[in-house]
Amino acid sequence: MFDSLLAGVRRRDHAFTVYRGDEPTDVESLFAAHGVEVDVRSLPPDGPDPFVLIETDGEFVGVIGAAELDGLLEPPIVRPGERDEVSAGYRAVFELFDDTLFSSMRRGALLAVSHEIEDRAYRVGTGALHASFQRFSAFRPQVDAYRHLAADTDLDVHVYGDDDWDPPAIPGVGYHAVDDDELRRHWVLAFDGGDGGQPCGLVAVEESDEYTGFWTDDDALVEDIIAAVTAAAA
Amino acid sequence: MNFNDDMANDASGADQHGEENPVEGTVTLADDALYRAFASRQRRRLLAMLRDVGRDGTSVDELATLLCGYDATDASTMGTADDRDRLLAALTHVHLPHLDDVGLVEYDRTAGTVAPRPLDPGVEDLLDRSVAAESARRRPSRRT
Repeated sequence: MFDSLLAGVRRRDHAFTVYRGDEPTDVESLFAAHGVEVDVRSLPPDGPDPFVLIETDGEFVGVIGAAELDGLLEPPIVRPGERDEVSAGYRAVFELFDDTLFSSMRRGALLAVSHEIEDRAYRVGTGALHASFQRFSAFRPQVDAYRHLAADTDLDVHVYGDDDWDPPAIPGVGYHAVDDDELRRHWVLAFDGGDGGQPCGLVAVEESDEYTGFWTDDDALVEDIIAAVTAAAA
Repeated sequence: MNFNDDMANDASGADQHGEENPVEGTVTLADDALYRAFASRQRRRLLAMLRDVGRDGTSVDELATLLCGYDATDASTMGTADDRDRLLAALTHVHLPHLDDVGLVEYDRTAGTVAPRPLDPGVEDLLDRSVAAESARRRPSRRT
């Protein structure tokens, strides 16, 4: 189910052009790691700092500094004071990178995308958030964050995973032990949008310490993810 | 004769921008129009980038993207399609006609292309200084 969701994500025609001098930018290797090809154009020496032009289906959708985009795609550990800023950036990237496929993504980057989805759910404050942690023990570091999430909002939170640990009871959080091989291999997170929010989700599969998958703002695709995760837990 | 002098300079590798030979008919530091042209940061940026690009020039679209990249990197934010549309409008309605009138660039409205014109050495120097001053102001504020 998740594998077919992964396979079914269509790739919109995003084009990235890096404007820079002779020195390659860090963000180019990130794009390469995500399997995204980029064009390079030379920047006049008296021009701006290196930046990335983003076009979708041939239309200009944005420009962002190469350093800023690098920071967005490979975020440092998110400290509480930086959370808002990081989220604002991710919102922009989400809007630009609808249905973003990624490969060889590191755990830290995937966590940052997950935080953005959780943050959206937090801001909307209603609806259902589905999170599959592969194993309940993997949920342990997130217990405090989810306790906040459930206490501060009317969110209906569902946590899925292999039953290898007894998570603490948290009002508003329901646990679903799954005995499903496919779900155990995938990192799944989906928010249904609640009242007036934008649904969003991600599906990633772990492959030798790295993750391949996609994140999406597509309503129908998010519905499919939620249907798949609830079916696997049933 | 003049042509031969230039050739001789080129051959010796000494000539860069014709420092010793003011280009006739170009705007100089004695013209009010020059200072009006230089009064806008966008126009100074345009002149500097066009000089880098060389005599073949570039498209108005490309210049709008470059200016948008300038603003985005300065502000550390995402430059949007609206931002770029505004820059494109300012380019075609204000900045490029202005620079063309003063004789600093050659703006082809129909083709949507812009090429630099040879600059008076004094103007060249002023442009160098303004570029250096702007980058000196920007760099310290940027994270390393």
